[in-house]
Amino acid sequence: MTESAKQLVLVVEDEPAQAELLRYNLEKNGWRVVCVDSGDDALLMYRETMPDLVILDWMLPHLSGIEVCSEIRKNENGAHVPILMLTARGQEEDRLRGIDVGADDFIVKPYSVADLMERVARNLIVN
Amino acid sequence: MARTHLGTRIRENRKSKNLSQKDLASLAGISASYLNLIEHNRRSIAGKTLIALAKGLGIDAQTLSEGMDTSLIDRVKRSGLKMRGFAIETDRSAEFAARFPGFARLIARLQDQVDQQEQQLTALADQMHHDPFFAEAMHLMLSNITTIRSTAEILANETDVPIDVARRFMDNLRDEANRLSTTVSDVLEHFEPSSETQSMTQGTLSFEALLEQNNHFLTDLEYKTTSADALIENTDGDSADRDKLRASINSYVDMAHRLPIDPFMEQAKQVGYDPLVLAQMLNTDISSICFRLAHMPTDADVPKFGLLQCDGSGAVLYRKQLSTFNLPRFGGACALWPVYRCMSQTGQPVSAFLDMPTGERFYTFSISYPVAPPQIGMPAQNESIMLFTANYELLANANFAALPQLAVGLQCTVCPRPNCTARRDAYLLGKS
Repeated sequence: MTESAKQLVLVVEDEPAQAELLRYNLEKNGWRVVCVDSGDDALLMYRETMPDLVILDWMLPHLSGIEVCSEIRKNENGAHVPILMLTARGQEEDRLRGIDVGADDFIVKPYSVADLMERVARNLIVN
Repeated sequence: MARTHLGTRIRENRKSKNLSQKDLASLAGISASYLNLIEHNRRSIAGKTLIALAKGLGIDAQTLSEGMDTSLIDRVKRSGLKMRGFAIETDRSAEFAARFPGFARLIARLQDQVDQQEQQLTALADQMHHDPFFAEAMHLMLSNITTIRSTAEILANETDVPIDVARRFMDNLRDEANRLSTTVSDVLEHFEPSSETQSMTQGTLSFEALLEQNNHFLTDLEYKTTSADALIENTDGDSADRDKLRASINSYVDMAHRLPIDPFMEQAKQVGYDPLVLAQMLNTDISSICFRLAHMPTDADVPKFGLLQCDGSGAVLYRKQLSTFNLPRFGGACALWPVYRCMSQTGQPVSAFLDMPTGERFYTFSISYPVAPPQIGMPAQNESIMLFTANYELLANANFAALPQLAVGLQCTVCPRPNCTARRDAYLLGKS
């Protein structure tokens, strides 16, 4: 498979070590990866690259993951792109809020890499 | 001690003996419909009828007439129900309390202590759940743990990790472990109770706990089916705590008396829960209206309001939190909240949307008002109040689009907003 034919994953994570880990694991599993560390950059990068899937941290400085998710769904031609939210908030009300703004899946920290990769693969196949 | 009406006692005794109204009426030689009126305290009885009913119930007429402390029986019964696996005859609690009143009081007292400790645990758990610093610290710790776990998984299980990547991962492990230990230390420091904090929390905690257990609506006080004294009766704590609790409950009773909930709900709905219109309509002060709006029964069609009341120094006098809008107990909240800004404009209401860093949006209504008559040479004594809700779609306000939208936080230590001119403390969790 050529590099450009691989599916592209946009990672929005402000913790550098987390972002590096996600990049390492995603690339190892055969996907292309772009990482940004803020909600504002996420929207810019989304417009620029139109990724096949977005991994979005809930807690971001300035623009939150919820706001980014909502914005992608409403204004960025992102009605169908799978969005996986990384969150430390496992409560039902938080989950419902995420679903309300259009998140497809939730990965609650601390998660296992294998589980995360499986969910990325599943969402990409479904899409 | 709380004693029930005679009719209610008859009903309770009848039910505890599994008798129908028809059965007991027949035993006592009266009609079932007459017994029904008696049980609902609509007919007073004495003499022959009382003796006949007592006989039908198999208890002494005097005991039935004078009644037993039902709260004692309830507490004995509850104690038995909580002790599962012991086959306790809870259906005979009334009989037990009557035969062994001393033991019954002992059991009730022990049960009260258990209940009180459970309430304290619940209040503490709730405090931790609503503490913005703790919530943010937990998020950070879980992020640290995720990174450590995932990095360790790779280093332990994969043999083909390039050496430069492996080195970086090792550095990450060290850094994340350091950050984790720093955050844990911060959390421990945060929960180290000062003596001042402990003494301040006791009285207000019990009222807050009482309100939270009842969804901030004390039905029995609203409809006068119990008194403030009855509510306070079983509360432990020293006299100062009980006095504080009594004062808080009396304020609630006063509000419920001045603004009865049923007509208020109808009027509030008609005017879209607008505090200013309601204050004019009901000819009362705006702070009472705000308190009333914050203490309404929970319903899908009714906006859920939170409330913050401060004195002129910004100290918190009263707070009602929402699950997504946590309020500090001792001040130190975001200086951009309109509840503080409106203090410079007494009597001038301020409406604004607050946008939180987490993406939540709240409609707020704030106003400052005098609490003491003006005196020459003395500073004005004002308080301010902020009413807030996330259910603003249920409010009537044609000017929503014109309202300011303020990017705020909860408090600096947990707020990641960069370049905030109102920041007075650093963001403690290392993400700004």
